[in-house]
Amino acid sequence: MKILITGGAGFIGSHASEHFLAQGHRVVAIDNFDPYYPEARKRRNIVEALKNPQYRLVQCDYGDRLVVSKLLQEEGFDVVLHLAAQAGVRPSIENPLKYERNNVGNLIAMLEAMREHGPRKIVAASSSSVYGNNTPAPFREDAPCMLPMSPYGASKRASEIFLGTYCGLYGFAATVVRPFTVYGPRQRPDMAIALFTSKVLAQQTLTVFGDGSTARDYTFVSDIVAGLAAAVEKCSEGIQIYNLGNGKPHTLNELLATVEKATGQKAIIQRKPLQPGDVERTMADITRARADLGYTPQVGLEEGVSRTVAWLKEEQKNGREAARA
Amino acid sequence: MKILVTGAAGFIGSHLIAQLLDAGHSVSAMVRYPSTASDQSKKRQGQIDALGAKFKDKLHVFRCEDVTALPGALKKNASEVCVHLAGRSWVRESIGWPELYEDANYRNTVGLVEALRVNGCRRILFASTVMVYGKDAPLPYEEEQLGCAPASPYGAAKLACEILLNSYHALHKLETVNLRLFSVYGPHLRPDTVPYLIASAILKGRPFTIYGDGSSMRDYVEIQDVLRAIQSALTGNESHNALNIGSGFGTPLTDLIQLIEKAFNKKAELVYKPAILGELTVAIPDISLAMEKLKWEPQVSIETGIQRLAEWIRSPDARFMSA
Repeated sequence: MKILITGGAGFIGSHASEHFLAQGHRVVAIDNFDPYYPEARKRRNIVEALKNPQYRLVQCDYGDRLVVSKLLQEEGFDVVLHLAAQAGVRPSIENPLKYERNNVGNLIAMLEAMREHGPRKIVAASSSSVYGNNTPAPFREDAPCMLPMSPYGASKRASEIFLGTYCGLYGFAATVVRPFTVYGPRQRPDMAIALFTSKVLAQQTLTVFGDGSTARDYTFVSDIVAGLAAAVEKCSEGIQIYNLGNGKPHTLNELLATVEKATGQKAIIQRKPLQPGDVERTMADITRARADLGYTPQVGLEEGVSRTVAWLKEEQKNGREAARA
Repeated sequence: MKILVTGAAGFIGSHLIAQLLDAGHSVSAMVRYPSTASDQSKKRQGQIDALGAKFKDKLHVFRCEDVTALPGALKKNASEVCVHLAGRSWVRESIGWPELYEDANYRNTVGLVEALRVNGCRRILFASTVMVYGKDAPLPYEEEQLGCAPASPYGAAKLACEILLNSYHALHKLETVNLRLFSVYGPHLRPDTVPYLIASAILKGRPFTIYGDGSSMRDYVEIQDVLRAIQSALTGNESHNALNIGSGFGTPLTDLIQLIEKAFNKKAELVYKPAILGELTVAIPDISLAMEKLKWEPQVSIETGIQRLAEWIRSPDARFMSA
């Protein structure tokens, strides 16, 4: 199989690339090395993949229609795994137009290239943030998702809608997955677990928003990759949407305790009020993914955090900044 | 009240600003004339100039084609309430040019809503469309039963805008109202709309093309009914995720043709072509939610509405447009 992975040098994209390469597939990764976090981090993510002759890296915007069209013609892909995105809920509140461009406008450009040159088959990562604050937990895929709490969530929901329209108009096969708070080695430096762990290890004060009762359905990256792989395999005509979560949310306080346990160090905590755009609780109903994709999350929070901590320690030992100070 | 109207030179916008000015409001009118110096463009400009002469400093007309410049442009036109009508609205064009439609509808709305927020706007009304409903949405359309996905990029972009507005309500407590307009018609109708095309075909003795078998059915809602719904939604501080604005009645295409034939006392010559990708065949709303929430009721029957349209089409005003 020939697969195009957008956002291929990112956190999930680099893990997914390695997975498909290990299965013997041809992987072409697109990445624009957006400066949202340091390029050096993404370069390190793909060090192993670059050693594989079946791997090709193309540095460009996935919405660069000319470059992408040429690539589609050259390679003749079977499927596109679309992971590129402008991530981050809070920054989206500051700069919503950037999220529109990178998460929606660029997607239309790529879909047009795919309509013209193929493949008309795409597995795309959306986000649990489409559920907002008014969806009853556990979140089911058929919830209306009309009230996301941030421009980021709104842009992701918009991308799902356009994918649905392309299925209806042009017979695309589109499988949308909604990952829930993904963590693990190579995690983005602005995300809670990486951030907390670095602070705890450095014995610096860490800021916690709210009283710690907000809950997230933390999902380990290897489980997400397994879900994506199954989605790629099963992707068929029409639009399908699947939650990829762990199904067992943990409160922020539980997460902090788990990080303390894994590091063997106490956290120094400064509490601040909840930030706009923060949702109180995310919880995936994964019945559908389990039934259709055979998706079964394997890694619980304790094991996942300890693997992440081990990776962070290794990074720090090598003098690399693994989290945003 | 100080009201910003985007798309103020368009069909609905030009009616709306005249009415708002008559009611004593101050209006900031954001306009984008068609790039070509067409008759339509000249005519709209003339209409707005006339309003400017009549209402003087109550009307401020401006253009802003660069979405990133909107925060600055709106600072100079700060308003409490915005009626956002600007956008491209032709289903067929959106299929050929989805990037254009994403840009003109979604991107511009993201930029506008953010610029309104930073400039302290309190309430935004957004002109959404019947086209947000999917082909599998149960009839008559209820606001929460959207079906699988909009059939066209136009509908997809409009639905994405609705969701964005909802999220601004949830996040920033902005008051937002999404009005899903059905097939709006009336004097000053755009020449690319079905009633206008039928009338123009009849008057010019040219064939009118029916896409599909003619069994399609739409809810045609007269401009005055739409304006009254907008006026009602302007007041109060309630937000509404979505309200269907239609007449509440479906009119089959063949009936519409007959009504227009009757109005001009002349038969239309019909030709048939295959149905267009991305168009909805039958699109009928349940308008009870809007009736309840806006304390509004459509009043213009299709018969009366078509007569009014025909009167305008016969007037020198319209002939200038179609010349």
